Amino acid sequence: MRLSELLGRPVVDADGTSLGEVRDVRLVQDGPLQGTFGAAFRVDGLIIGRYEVASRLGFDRRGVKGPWLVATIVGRLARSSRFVAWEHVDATEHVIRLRRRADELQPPAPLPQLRTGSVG
Amino acid sequence: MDDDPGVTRPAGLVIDAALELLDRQLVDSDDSLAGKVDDLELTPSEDDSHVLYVTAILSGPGALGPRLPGRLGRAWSALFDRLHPAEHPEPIRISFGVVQSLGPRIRISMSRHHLGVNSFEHWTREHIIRRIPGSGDASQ
Repeated sequence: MRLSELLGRPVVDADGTSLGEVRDVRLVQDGPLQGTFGAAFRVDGLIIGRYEVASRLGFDRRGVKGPWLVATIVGRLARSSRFVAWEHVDATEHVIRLRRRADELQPPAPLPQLRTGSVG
Repeated sequence: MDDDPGVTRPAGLVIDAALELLDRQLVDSDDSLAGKVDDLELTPSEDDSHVLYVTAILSGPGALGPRLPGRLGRAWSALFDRLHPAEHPEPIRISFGVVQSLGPRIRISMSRHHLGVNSFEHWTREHIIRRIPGSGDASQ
């Protein structure tokens, strides 16, 4: 499978309610050793949202402090973003179906809060 | 860093693939540009097929086509298949095991000459650009 096969796919929750599309794929480096890189990245879950621009700029995950007008507008668009753990994802059909209801999902945790190292 | 009690910090580094890997510049062992991250290969675990690991970076025109939307993506892929000398062309595959560091530029421990990242460009230059009248030394 390729990453591009997940990005942009429509997502519905366990009740069949549309949640938007897959905007990003969260990875955690805790897999088996892989050459000189170290532990492999594992697919941890999906970031789902209705508005691509909000996710593309990372406003829903980086705690970006941009110009207040941009931050306000894009921040509002990003409020619909949700994270779902990969174990609750059924990606066998084109429309990705979750094994969770929308009200059980949380917004994606900001990356700085998840970091022990740093990535530019 | 403000710790949110509601956030469980995983043991390993956490990144978002589209935000922090896609379209990043690759830099090879000679400090030369070696293409971009156009896609990632995800491979199921041997123990549990639902668990996916990132096993390779895919680069070049063959990897970019599927990312482009609708007709443009299909046209791009068809053109790549038509022009590429191989019967079933595949994108350039760079094992994640040769990645040395992540960041605005992704450094790999191989030379671009061993990756074939410019093979499609070379082929196009030799077989198409050179035949266009007036191309002169454009193929050089």
